[in-house]
Amino acid sequence: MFQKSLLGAIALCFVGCAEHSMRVSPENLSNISASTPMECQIIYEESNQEYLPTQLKNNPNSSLVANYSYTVHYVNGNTDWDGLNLFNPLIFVGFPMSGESVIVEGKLHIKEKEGVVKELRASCVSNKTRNLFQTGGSSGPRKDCLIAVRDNIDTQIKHFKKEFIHE
Amino acid sequence: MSKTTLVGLMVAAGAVVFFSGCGASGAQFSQFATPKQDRGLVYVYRPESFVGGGVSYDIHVTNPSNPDLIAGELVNGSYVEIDIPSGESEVWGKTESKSSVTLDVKKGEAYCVKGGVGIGFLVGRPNLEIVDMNTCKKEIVETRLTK
Repeated sequence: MFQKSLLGAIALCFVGCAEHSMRVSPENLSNISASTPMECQIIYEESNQEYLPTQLKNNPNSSLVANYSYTVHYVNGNTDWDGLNLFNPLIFVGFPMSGESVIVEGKLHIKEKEGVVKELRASCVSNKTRNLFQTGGSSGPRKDCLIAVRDNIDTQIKHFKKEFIHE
Repeated sequence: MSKTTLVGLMVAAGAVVFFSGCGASGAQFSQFATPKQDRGLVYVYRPESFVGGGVSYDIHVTNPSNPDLIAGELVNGSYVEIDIPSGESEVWGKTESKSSVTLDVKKGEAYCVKGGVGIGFLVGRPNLEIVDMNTCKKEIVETRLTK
């Protein structure tokens, strides 16, 4: 009975090895309550409108032009050494087999006729380890990061609007 | 020849015959095709590997115009060529668990996804990852068009 409990406890400890972390920067942006979106001419060349900051509202007559773009980079883990894991009993308690990362960088240029008014940037790194209990690919982390970057840029837009009005 | 040696040889011969049916039998990869107008091309390839060599899985594509298109079966040492509309598409495979990648396909561009098989509880699991074209060009030439 004691041996089974001990084994269970060890298994639970290693299940914690299944790391899935996400870090967005800039960090520690104070949250500002909801405000009206900024009207501007939007330039956005990606297909999914879900990733466009919600604080931007398209107005073809506006003098402000907002150009939003993002890049996604992948740092892949692989299955080349999975053969060795066949001899590793720890994989049954969640020992990591490989790690992978998704890096998303979002950029928003706000321009007026005279030139760039403001450039806002946000980035997100999502790290995930693959083990016997957790696989899945990069679709989920990519989407989570793109939404986190969008939300971060939204918060920065709110700060920018606040500064812009006070000037 | 002892009885043990004979049994060993028979098992080895049986394994060779069994696994020879697992590989790709199509034409060897030669070059990337030109995508059709307003569309992109995605190559999903799987370099030959001993581990998980007998496991294969279907490659599915999900996008607004196709909720679930089966593009082909990815066997050991094979590739699948998929003609995809521009926009976001999810490319995925599944055995006892699912692995997926999402591509934002641009008109006239080609993309590569590398497939593999990782360890699973009962059967090997698919592992898909987006790779850059330089890596793809080096590795895909060793593969054959899937059955």
